[in-house]
Amino acid sequence: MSWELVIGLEIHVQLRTAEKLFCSDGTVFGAAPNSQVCPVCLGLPGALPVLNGEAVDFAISAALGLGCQVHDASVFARKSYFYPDLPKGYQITQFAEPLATEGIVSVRSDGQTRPIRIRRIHLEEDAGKSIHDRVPDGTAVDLNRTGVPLIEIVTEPDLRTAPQARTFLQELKRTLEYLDVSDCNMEEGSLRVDANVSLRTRGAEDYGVKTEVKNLNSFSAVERSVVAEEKRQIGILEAGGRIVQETLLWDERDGTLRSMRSKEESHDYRYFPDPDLPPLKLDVERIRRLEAELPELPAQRLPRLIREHELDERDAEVLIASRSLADYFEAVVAELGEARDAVNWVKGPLLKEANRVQRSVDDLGVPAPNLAALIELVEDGTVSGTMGRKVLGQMVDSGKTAPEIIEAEGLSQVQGSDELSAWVEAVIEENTEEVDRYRSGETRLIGYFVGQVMQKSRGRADPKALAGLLRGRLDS
Amino acid sequence: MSITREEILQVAKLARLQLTEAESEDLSHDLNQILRYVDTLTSLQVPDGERLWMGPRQAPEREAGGIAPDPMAHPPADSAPDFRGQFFVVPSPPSLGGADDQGAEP
Amino acid sequence: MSDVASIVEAVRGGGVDAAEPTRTALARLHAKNGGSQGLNAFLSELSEVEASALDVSRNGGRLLGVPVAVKDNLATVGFPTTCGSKILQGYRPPYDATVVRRLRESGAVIVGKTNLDEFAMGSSTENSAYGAVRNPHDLSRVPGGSSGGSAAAVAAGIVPAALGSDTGGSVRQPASFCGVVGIKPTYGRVSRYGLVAFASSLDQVGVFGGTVADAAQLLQVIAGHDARDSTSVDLPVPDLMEGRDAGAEGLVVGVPTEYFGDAVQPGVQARCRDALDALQAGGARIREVSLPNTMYALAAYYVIAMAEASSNLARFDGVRYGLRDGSGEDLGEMYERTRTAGFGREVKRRILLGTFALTAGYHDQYYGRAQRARSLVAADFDAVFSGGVDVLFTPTSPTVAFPLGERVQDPLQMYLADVFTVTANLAGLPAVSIPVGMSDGLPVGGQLLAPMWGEKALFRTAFALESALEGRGPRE
Repeated sequence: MSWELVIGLEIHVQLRTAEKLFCSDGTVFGAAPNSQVCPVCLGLPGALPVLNGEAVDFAISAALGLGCQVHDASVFARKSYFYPDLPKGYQITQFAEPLATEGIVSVRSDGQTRPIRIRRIHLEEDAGKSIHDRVPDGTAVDLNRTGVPLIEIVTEPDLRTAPQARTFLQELKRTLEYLDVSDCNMEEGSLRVDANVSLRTRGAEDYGVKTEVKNLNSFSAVERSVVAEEKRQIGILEAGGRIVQETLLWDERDGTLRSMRSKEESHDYRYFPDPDLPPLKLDVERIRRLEAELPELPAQRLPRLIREHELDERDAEVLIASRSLADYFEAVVAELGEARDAVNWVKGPLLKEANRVQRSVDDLGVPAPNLAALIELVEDGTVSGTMGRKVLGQMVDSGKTAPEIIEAEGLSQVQGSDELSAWVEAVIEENTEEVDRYRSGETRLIGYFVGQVMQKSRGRADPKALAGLLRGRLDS
Repeated sequence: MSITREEILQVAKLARLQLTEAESEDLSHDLNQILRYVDTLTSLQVPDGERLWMGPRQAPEREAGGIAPDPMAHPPADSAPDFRGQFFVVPSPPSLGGADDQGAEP
Repeated sequence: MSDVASIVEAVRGGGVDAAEPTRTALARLHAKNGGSQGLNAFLSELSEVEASALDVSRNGGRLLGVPVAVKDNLATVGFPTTCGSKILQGYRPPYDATVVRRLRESGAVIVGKTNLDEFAMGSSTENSAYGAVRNPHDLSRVPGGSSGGSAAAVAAGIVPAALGSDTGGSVRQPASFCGVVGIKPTYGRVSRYGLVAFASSLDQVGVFGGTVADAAQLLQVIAGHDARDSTSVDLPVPDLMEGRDAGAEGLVVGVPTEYFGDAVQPGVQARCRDALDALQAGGARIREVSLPNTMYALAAYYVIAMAEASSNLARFDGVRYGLRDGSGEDLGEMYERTRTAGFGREVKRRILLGTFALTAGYHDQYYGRAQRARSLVAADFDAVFSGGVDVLFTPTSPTVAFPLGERVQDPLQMYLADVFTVTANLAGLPAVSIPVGMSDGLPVGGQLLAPMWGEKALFRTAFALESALEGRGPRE
């Protein structure tokens, strides 16, 4: 039996607004528990919601960036259930009339481009946090997060493989980062994903019964859990069984799925339009303005970089990983007037440094012109490539420019024969055994001698000039 | 249209209310009486479409800094039945569920 | 010195100490409120210490020194806010309702919180967890509800004015039973921020006064847009006292046939006819009109009110404030025990019906239909008002105050007391009840309704009717 895997995703994204969705508390991650609360998000009797305009703008931008139709009227609804981190006993969300529908995100997989349709995007408020292992005899509740604005993005079941799902999420995350509407940090909870998985026989029109997979903490967890669920479902179907619609929790540690089938009846959320909030009406001007203000998104930037700077695709993919990286790269290109060196230095040494100090490239204290200057100094031979990378490290640590550092530490590459000869002589004198071995035919040892001179010169010798000089001395 | 005893108990569960035998009996009677009255609505030819919204035509939006958080005369801990350290404390749920509680909605 | 204007004049003039009217009010409260034959209108009061420490130094305050009572479902710092329920026993809000803040800023003094049907659900104030309130005109009878405490406080001369809330008649009906003036403003005219919600799309804060002028002056202070209430409308508040001497000349008063049938007690009918004659004598033209969808109004009202109430009361869960019964095994039992012990019978009845009306299977049949029926009720009024009618006149209630205990066992009978008042809430119209005489020693109220935002016409007519009926009122 040939099975087709069908995957749909539900993604919750926290918007990085200054204030919560329905009240003016701050949204800072990691604040002291229950310190970012007020009567509204505490659900005190008599409190009322007031919509945050910035959140609406962010949601519209996200919807436009994902190719959606933004609706000029949408309605907030109450979704009722009881839970200690849901103070009002209902969540204010959007149900029958969401903010946006019908979007598209293109995903590259197996050399092809698949359009993945977005079914809907809507605004809703986040709940608080329930912590079960903090007090021995109960659950601790922190309501700081209650009321933080979220958009919920629901895809059509257009994904067909687990790696596709992962790639989709990467593209989605990157797009949202470019739009600067969210931190998209799964570890901090500003991006959460649930997967809906079903199988059908290849060629079938109808969808099979779907299960919902939750508790996914990373994109790779999404991928692995989908693989596991596919396997589980195939096992059942091939044994002649039926798939039960249920929710499964992914256990990251042992890579298994656990059913959440509880004794309680299925939920009736009793959605109805929230009478405390009139409909959200958006005028065309506002949507147009936000559309015009959208930054260039990855889907456009990638082909443009490839075209304009003659990059190869793999390099371009690395460079558009974040908007700040792509901006940085293009700034360096502008300074240098060419792309080749910019590509090598940005995707190589610069990213390494960024990784080393765990900061983003625009936060390293090395503005693009400074990197460009360093690159030029290497190109013109003032310092060797190796030395240049060391200098970069010092630029990051000190915030100084390349010329400043090279000058201060006397690091400029030595190419002149006199100084080089002195080091060469010294090395030859100190390594008579190796000299004999070289002269008896072990010409590979040239590398050893180069290394010794580099050490003696504390890296300042120009290896290119050196090789020639050494050979000359050794062969004579 | 009438509501059965089972339905009343299901609804009570949704609303987190416990009813004794006697109460569900009495309530069954009351609720059905009210529902019979309310059923007059079904004879009404109601037009499809827009519900009547009370108040402003559209949701007002606030700007950042537009309305200060209402300063509270005393902290949330003061009204709470059980507040320890910096947290509200409640008995634990029977089976874990919640917006992100191991991922499952209750 | 028993009305708002003369108190303000005396205090401003310096003839009377600013705290004197408050001391008088408290003395009357002590004399009339407690004991086995007491009114039980107040659930909490200003202490002696607080009364003597009063700082009433706001010379510009429109209500300087005026003692007022506030219904116990409005948030007040410094007083408990119980909503007449066990579930909020001892709960002290950390914030003031907007209307409370505006009263304080105007120099008024909150003398105490008044008793009410639990969570404003009822028409007799017999559903309070803290005992019923007695009608000052006849202690064996109900004062009406749900704002029975505020109505009784004014009727007994304890305070010249008080705040209540009106969802289906909860200010107007007790006003009529107690022989005082009670007004419900246009929906959106007065902020609901801090009013513990019963039915969000129907609730409005209302005002009681010994006279029309008293009510007007209080309403003037509390009315107006509030950014913290998304359902409040940004329209200027007209001068409500402006029409006080304009008389009835030229007014077209509509009399809807549906409000004068057999269900109305003969004594009530008679006093209403007298009122219409008085208006006519004053130059008004009386016109018979029809509001054909009136018969659906009560059913639509109850479905909408109960559905919204079931949702608004979900926040009372024992987690963050109020009563908690933690004696059970786990969270689920805590919720059930708390809510079962904390809510009274009428509240439970409405929560159950409301929840039922919103459940997936029945949503459209009940809630959906009721909302659409609401449009029809509103359309009836629109048609009449745009046909040249300035205000409508009806009895406020089909009967005078009924005996304590008579209806409390029969919910449907109790609901019928609201039949003439719910339409104004459904359509969002401003409406006022003013005393129009006595029947068998009990007050009768006549109701005026005006178009949306028509408070000016409403008060003009109310003033005209009050003067025309001078001397027939029941005030102590």
